[in-house]
Amino acid sequence: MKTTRRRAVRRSTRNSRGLSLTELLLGSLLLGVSLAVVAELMALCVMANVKLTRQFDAQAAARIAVDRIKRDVRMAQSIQTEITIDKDNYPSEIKRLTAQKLILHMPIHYLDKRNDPVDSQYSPGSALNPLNGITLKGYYEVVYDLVADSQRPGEFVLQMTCEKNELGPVDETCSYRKEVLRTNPQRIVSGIIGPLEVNAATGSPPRIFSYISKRPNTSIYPGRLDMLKDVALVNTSAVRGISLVGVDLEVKRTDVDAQTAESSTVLDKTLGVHAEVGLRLPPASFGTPMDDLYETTN
Amino acid sequence: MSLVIYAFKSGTYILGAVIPGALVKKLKSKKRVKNRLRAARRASAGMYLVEALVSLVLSGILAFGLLEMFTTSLRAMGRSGNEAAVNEIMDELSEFTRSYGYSRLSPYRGQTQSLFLNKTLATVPESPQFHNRPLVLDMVAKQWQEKTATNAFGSIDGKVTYAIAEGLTPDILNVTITVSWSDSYSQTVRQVRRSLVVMEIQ
Repeated sequence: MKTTRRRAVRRSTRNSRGLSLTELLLGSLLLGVSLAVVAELMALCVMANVKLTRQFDAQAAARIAVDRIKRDVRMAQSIQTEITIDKDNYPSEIKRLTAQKLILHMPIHYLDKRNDPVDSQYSPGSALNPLNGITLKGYYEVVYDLVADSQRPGEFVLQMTCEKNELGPVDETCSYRKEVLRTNPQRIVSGIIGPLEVNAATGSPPRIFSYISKRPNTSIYPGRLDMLKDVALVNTSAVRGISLVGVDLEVKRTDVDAQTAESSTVLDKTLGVHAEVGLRLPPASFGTPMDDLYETTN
Repeated sequence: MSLVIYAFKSGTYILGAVIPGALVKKLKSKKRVKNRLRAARRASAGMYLVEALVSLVLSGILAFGLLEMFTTSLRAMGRSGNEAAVNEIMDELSEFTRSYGYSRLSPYRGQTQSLFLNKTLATVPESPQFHNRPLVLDMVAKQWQEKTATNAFGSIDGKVTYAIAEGLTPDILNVTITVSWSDSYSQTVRQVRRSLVVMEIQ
């Protein structure tokens, strides 16, 4: 009886000895492997999420900027070679049309405040004023200007300014474009890093605007829309013939804490957009007859 | 047996026979040991390798599910990106059509132009008389970041055709823009088409 009991106790001891080191190690290994897989997946998901957020951010910012420029170009009467800006307490400044600066000459159309849904005096029930749409005296200039970002070296910011150069007397019943009455430049999009000129030197500003004109006297392809060279942008007659404005933006979205454009990580997202938009008014039937002002030679 | 034990628990007799207290104690103790041993065996059984493997397989299935979900979303993102680029091309060419107008398009009536996309380093464009600039991103005249350039329009052989056809009357032109492409990881050719009517304004 004693022997049976001892055996039972021994068997019990053997069974209740718990896990051996090998079992523990194997268990830990298996758990580790599966945890590593899950952690890797989670890390990938988080990274993808960050990248996706930045991509959407860049895409939305670039799209809003391009749409805004498109709308203004469509509304513009012409493109200007230069304008003089007079600000209170500041010396007057001349801005010239370049690949970084777009100067649009905008007509002013009458719109009754009661018919403007974005105006505070909008009245949905009021009848449409028959004067809506007539051109008022004066004009204003819209300037899209690419400037270096003071807070983030290596990046640029696109700003928009409305210069009321020859605005007629302000009509109290007219709903003017809000920016016309604003003095400070409006920030349109930040984080612009390109596109650059081919083989551009370090620190060169991006070339975001290109100007396209109907070429009158190419012997081979008359009427083709060709890109104007930079030298043509000071030529008033060449600029008057511009039919299309090309907009290229390369936007970067990075960590908000990153101090410089160079401190990039794998999570940074860059995005490029390209658009060409035509002027609705007038447009000129042909651009400059001088062949040497176009990019394409044939 | 349980009946007997029960009987002794309540301290009574069964079938008129008296079972001595020592025997009862012995029987009780044996039963307790057996129960304890059974419980110990059950408790100390631990986890077998098979169980570990099963759990590993289950977590593997879960991980692959997550991976599949992840790759699917990446592909969807790629597809959306390509669709956005296609929309961009459509808008650009629609704008171009409006800017060109009836008078400039009319000589190309009945013709289909094949336009070129980004990454094309063609020195002589396919249709130089018509639109000689690359669509999407200008990889020829401008320098983009490598990261941006690779995002431009997926890794595809995109094709853009611009067909100008006769309208219902001679002063109407029908312009049809067709963009065809295939997404990454897919051989299927996708196509988007947009038609515009251009009229001569007297």
